[in-house]
Amino acid sequence: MSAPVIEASSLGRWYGEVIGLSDLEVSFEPGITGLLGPNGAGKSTFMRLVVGELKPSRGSLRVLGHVPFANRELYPRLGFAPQQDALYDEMSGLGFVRHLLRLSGYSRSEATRLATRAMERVDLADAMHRPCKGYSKGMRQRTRLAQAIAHDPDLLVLDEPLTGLDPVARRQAIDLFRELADEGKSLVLSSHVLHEVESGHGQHRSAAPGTAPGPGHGGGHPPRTLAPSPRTAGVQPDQPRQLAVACSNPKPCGASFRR
Amino acid sequence: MMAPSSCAPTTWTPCSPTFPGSSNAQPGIRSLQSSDADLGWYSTSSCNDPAYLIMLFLRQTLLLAAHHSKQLLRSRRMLLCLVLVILVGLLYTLAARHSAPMRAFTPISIVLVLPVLAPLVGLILGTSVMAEEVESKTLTYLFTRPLHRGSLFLGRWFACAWIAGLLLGGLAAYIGFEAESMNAVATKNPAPPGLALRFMAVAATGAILFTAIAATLSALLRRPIIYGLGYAFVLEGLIGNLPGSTQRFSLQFYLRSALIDTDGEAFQRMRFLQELGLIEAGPAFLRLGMALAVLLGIGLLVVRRKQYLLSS
Repeated sequence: MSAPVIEASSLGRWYGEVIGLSDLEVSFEPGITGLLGPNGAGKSTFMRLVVGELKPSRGSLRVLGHVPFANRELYPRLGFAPQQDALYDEMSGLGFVRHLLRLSGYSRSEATRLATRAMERVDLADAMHRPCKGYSKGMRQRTRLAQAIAHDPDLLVLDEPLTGLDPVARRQAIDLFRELADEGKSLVLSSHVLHEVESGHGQHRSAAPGTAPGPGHGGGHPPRTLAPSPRTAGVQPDQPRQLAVACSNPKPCGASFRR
Repeated sequence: MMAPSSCAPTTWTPCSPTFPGSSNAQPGIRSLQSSDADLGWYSTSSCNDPAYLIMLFLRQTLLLAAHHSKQLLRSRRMLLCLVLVILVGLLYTLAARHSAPMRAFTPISIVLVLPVLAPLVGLILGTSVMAEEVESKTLTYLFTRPLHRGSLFLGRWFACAWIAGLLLGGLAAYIGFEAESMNAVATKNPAPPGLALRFMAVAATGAILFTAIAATLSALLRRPIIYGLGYAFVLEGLIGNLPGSTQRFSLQFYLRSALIDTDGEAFQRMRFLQELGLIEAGPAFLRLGMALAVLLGIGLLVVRRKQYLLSS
């Protein structure tokens, strides 16, 4: 069995009084890993911890064997496409990717070559000289993807990479993910949609808000495991106060009840 | 720029001796062997030569400074600063038309340029250092590169500093040379020789100092412009104008000291300047330089350690 690319132990992250992640124990092996969960489940928080943008409030996290926060030894091997729609709008797509490559230490000519190759890979060769402010949502998404893959990283962390893409572009992106995995890269991508993650033929992990995700594997769980419409479950306990106290405990509710 | 030959990695191994993706650990993963050195890639971790690391730091700083300069020169912030500078220049031209050079110069420099315009321009430009990247949420891209966070702060500050220094220095040069050129026609209260150069240096220093204050605030706080304005106009305004030695805790005191030649004939005639208890120009410049170094040091420390929350 190969060593894990990401290892988290008792990982927790709070934003003031809000719990972003609680007691996460995961170990991701090389390959494609999808993170599934509703809004607020902590997928983006986990990814921001993985790319070293945030520090854990508790627990430990190692990415490719490194503690990720502000770790310059890790970043050459890591590509991150964030969820937020942010680019330098006055720059062209090619200029944007090239600028980031140059900051990573590439010469001007090499940065141009690698940026062009990355833009071609995400099918933006025709538009790469246009300013980003004129890009559609899908083009912006693909530019974010291009800057993540341009420096040929070992681990790609992609936060909702299929959002905003039309069906054809979505198909192309999924093919690209498979291609990257075939090249030996590890990918961690988040989504709300199970079958999108499964179509990448990777392992997936589903997460309830702020808790440890459960494992699964692509192909083994058909999309019908998701309810066709939202469902609401009501709880009428005999001792509501004790339930409230138990749920306010920072440990997961289930553990408190068992106790 | 290619890496120096002694520092160019030929294998991936030095950076990741235990990573499962290396060719010896997992055959299916593409290895980064000597052919990849052709990519021009070099890792900051692959070479511990201090000279090389310093060069890399400087290169990244200059790249960031050039990029931020371009951004600033096309921004609304720049337009606002230009309008303010032109307005003050016009004001001086009108004021100096029918008076002795020093009669217009003194209030414009000591009352308007140093305590009002320098902080305004410095704050308007300097708050863009970190706050702009946080607001536009593009900071993520920079923080996930093998980039020293210090170079990010210094590079972006440097862009603000040279633009602010040039704007204020240019205005001061115009005002100073106008005042000096009137010496020929003025019979009393002439401008002291070298006034233009000194005013240029002091105004530029003041603007650069306030960009450093704004940059540090932008690294620390979410709304740096509000805190910066509070500092520049409430705290500095109060402390800088108190009688006695309290005013030595304000930057304005040292800016005034650096500008006013206490031995010079022109300034000696202005009794109120003599009552300010100013120090000599040399020590004043030295203390301003020390303040700049401390401010940048705090900013660097904050940026290196702080977690910036970019909500999506």
